[in-house]
Amino acid sequence: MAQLPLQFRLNGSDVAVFADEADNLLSVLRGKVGDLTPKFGCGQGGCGACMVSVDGKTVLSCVTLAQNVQGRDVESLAGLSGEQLDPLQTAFMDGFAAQCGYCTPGMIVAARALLRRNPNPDRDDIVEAISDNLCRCTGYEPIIDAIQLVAAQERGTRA
Amino acid sequence: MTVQVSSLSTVDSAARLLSSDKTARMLGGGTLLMQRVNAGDPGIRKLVRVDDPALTDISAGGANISIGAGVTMSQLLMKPELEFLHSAARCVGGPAIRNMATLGGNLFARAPYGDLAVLLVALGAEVSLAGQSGSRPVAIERLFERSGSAPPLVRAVNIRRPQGQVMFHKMSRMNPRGPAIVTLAIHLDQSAGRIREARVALGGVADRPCLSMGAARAMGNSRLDDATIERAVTDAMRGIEPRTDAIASGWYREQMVQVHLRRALTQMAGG
Ligand SMILES: Cc1cc2nc3c(=O)[nH]c(=O)nc-3n(C[C@H](O)[C@H](O)[C@H](O)COP(=O)(O)OP(=O)(O)OC[C@H]3O[C@@H](n4cnc5c(N)ncnc54)[C@H](O)[C@@H]3O)c2cc1C
Repeated sequence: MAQLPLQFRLNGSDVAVFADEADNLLSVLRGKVGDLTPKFGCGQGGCGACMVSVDGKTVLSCVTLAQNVQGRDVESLAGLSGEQLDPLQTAFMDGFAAQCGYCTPGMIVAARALLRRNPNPDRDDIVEAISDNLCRCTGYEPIIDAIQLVAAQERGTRA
Repeated sequence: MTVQVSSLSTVDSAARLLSSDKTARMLGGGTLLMQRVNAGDPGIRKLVRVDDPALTDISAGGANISIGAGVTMSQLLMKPELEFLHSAARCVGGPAIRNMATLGGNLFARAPYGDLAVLLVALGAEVSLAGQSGSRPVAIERLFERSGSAPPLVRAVNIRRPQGQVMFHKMSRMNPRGPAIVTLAIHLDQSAGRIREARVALGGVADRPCLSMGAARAMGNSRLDDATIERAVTDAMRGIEPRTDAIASGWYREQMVQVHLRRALTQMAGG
């Protein structure tokens, strides 16, 4: 079957690939574009390991039809760090918020989306914001602490 | 097996395609449908994407509200005029699921999902179907009776702005989000101290949201007092066989309906 030409922006750069008509976005990102930061966890939208943002809104890329991002802006974990790590990455490392690390890309995408819309989240806001994401190692507490720490640091930076 | 995708610009052309091809499915946000595509479900050979503004229109200014079936939970939550739907929309998954999950998809989600649909059933909402010009809107619960035949394409959901009291409660093992053990929605319309109309909708107990006829009958034209509440609780599950699955047993679901219905009605009575 003919492949579909697909163009979108990934982390600020133009991307053009051919995909199968019903490919999901995760398989295109990992298999066709080579961005391995979103992970394949469940393939059912249930674990959050594949989370990316499309036009600034978080989605589960494994259940997003790749065609739906035609012409749109996609951001993955790879887009959050440039020369330096995102402060969330540093806080996750320092605070042992990543153990096996498989959930970490999705967690950080979710956390960054939260801090962009709400720079002053309380603990409940954080729990709610990462409620699409499963972590089977940490028990969540170090993750919540790391996000809270970065929120406080960034408010301090801005003040 | 490859799955084709048809991208169409009107809901009516999509409705024609869906009625002529039993292996075609309308794509909403894809949170449920793409799971089946990913798993290679042989029953799905074609996805239908529709880029019709009718699907994302919201008209919520007056007493008669219409919401396009392609509106997502996050979009509903941004509309203060639709505040009476927010408690249900907010409990659908986490933020990323809500950015994707549509109203139309929620109507067709099977238990333990379909939380917003439960509230819509309690509110007596109706759906406008695409490709059937001139046909009258259909009560949401009638949609669920059509098992076997291809599901119709829902263009929009129509709701009368609720008068009276509305209550929504979802009980889940996982908080803040998780599949429902039981979802309960109540709409009570009272006048001169008597209940004019009571609609109690239940989710999680059957495959699709259902109305508790027993509770409605027990409350009709009565005062919302302790005796009425006890009658409603006793009769709530009459005629409904609660399902048992990995989340809860049928017995437990029945208990939970009764516990939460009693609490909700007591609260609505001001107790
Ligand atoms: C991790 C996870 C958590 C979830 N949590 C919840 C929850 O807490 N509560 C809940 O209610 N649901 C939940 N869901 C289920 C689901 O996300 C929602 O029910 C959602 O509203 C489904 O909408 P969708 O647009 O994604 O549907 P899709 O997956 O696109 O479609 C679902 C079905 O509806 C049909 N359909 C879609 N739109 C139309 C239309 N306009 N006309 C006719 N048929 C249509 C499709 O053909 C398909 O058969 C969850 C799902 C996941 C993966």
